[in-house]
Amino acid sequence: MEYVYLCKKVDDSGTLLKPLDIQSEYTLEDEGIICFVRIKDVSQEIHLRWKWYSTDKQMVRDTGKVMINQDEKYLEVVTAYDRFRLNPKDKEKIEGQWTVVVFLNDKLIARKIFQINK
Amino acid sequence: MKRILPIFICAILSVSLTASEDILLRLEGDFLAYSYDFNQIYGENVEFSFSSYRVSCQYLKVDLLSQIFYAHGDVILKKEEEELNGDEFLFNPKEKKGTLINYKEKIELKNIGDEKGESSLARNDILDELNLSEIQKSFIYFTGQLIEIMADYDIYGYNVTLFVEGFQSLGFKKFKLSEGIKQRMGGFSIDKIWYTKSQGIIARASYSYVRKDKVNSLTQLNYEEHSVLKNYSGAKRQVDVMTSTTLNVDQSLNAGMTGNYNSSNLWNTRLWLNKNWGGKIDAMVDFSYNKPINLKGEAWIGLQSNLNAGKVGTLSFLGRFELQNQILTGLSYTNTFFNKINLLLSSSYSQIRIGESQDYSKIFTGGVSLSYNTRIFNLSTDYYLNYDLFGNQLLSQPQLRFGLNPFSFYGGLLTANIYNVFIYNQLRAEDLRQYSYSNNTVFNLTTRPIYIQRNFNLNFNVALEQFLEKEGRNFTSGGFIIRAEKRVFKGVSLEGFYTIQSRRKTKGWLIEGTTSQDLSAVLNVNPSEKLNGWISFSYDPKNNQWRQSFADVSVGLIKNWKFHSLINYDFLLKKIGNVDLYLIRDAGRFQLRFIWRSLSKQFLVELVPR
Repeated sequence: MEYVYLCKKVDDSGTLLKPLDIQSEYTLEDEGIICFVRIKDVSQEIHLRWKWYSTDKQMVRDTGKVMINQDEKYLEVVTAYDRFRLNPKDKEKIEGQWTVVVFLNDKLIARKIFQINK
Repeated sequence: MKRILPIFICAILSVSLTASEDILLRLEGDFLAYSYDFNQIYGENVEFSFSSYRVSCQYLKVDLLSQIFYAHGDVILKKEEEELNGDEFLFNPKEKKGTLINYKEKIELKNIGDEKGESSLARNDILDELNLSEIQKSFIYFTGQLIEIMADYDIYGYNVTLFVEGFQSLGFKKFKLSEGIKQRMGGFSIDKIWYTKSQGIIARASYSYVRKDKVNSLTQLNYEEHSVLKNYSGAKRQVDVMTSTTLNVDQSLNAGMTGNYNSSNLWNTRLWLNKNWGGKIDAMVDFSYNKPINLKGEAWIGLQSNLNAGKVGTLSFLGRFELQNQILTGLSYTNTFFNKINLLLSSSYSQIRIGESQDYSKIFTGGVSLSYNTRIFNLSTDYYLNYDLFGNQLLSQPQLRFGLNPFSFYGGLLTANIYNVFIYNQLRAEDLRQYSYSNNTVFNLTTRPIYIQRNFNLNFNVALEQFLEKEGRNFTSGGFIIRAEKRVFKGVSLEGFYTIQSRRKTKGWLIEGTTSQDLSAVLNVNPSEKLNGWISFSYDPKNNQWRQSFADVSVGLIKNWKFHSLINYDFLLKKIGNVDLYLIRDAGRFQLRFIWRSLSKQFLVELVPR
């Protein structure tokens, strides 16, 4: 795993995706939060999984296993992301510290904490 | 040599050799990497013991500076009949506490080692950035499969491969990397063996013994061999031994000894005992012997005491007696009244032998200092008396100082400061009566930056000084500085300074003085992190000539290497005054510098801890 970033947008204009507006603080006006992963030297099938936890440590989103490289080719770099959309109706529950974790083949490779403010 | 022995014996009496080091954590893994630059460890498929558990994990990250230990990916804690699984494990091996975290339908935290303690999940930017690629960017790192972290955070690697600037270097069976400049816990070491053209062969060694909170002893030996040098006029060799030992009996009582011997036939030693009563009274008794070169030795016994009586004040006493009838005494009292008035009373008496004769210089001094500070002004007065009883000379020196604290007006735009010092000296000897006085008044006015435009500001500074003295010499000085700053575009700014100073001396009808002017400009260039620098010029408008120019450039190269240069050009001599060139590698905890200095024609290599 090369890096995991939280960002607002993704640049998909090139061959590989790139994270844009990397930050760890967001507001209710943001469309959503992107958890961006970049992995190097992938030569077999792998699966990624994102889990998002709210301020009360309850899971609010689970992507399940996302299969990558099912053809088992050699890939020098793999980029992937998951977007979590905020629901402005849940204002009271939204403000505070959130957590997102990323699993690679069921093993936790990264944990990111971010803040949502008014 | 006879005198070296007592010092050495005192230093090493009843001490053992090297202290043992405890292992804090022993890591075994398929892959482990340690970065000396950042003092961090990264590991894959790692096992270690924690509390009574055997822990295994997919990944391990350790930051030794902040003492964060983090295991993640299939974490298993096993002991006898218990097995705990988790996604993350944050732990502190020194405190033997940790938190096991699972990400299921909710985040589950379990304390290990301190079940009743609080758990929290905090963001940690250091861990986010710690990965193998960052370790591999280090100037020095090693990889292996076994690492021991000691109790003092020294690192031992076993069967490791060392990498320097990304290039594979040597392999080592056992390799230690410590924190750079750090006092060893004990033992003998050879610190340096060196050769220079001016000093010859230089060797330094030291021996230290430490018993935690009780004993601290250090002895250092310096040896210089000058006989290898041609045309050296001094002694063929020189030995210097220094030792210092402190013994802490308990919190209120400690003792110590220092000694110094130099082969040029000088040596000194001192023994002391210090006792403290409740933090209010302390007393120290000491005995010292000093043998200077070619002079008779002196043995002194001394007593020093402080009494802190809170609101009543602080009283200090010092008394020293030397076996050849020499005396040093001193008494002082200090206190603060009403939080604004500070009083200091002091007196001393000294009776010191004059050279090798039987005569003594006897001097009595006394002084009173009183100061009063308010929000607006401060006022202080001192009276100092020096009475030479041997020469029958009395010097008294009262002083009066008055100053207004800096005050601002026009909404803080201007700030002014005024102070005045008056000194009176009176000297009385047998048939001599002399007195003199002087008065110095200083006025200073400064402005805050005044923005003419958004990217252009000015500020000013004016200073005036008037010095008067009884002999009739009067000095009047004044100075004015104007500074302008303009941001040209992003990363580039221009500063200009104009200064004018004038100093006039008048004595009777004679007036003489000087005036100087200087116009300087500085161009700052900081377009990016990789490139920054500045260049300055100074010009003398009065004499219509250029003076000096300085330039400083820093350019980022590959990795964390940067090139830095300092250049000076002298317009008056029409030549480059000095060129310093630097090649610098920033390596986390230290900097490696290669330096060329044109003035001294020296090439240096420096390793600077940060």
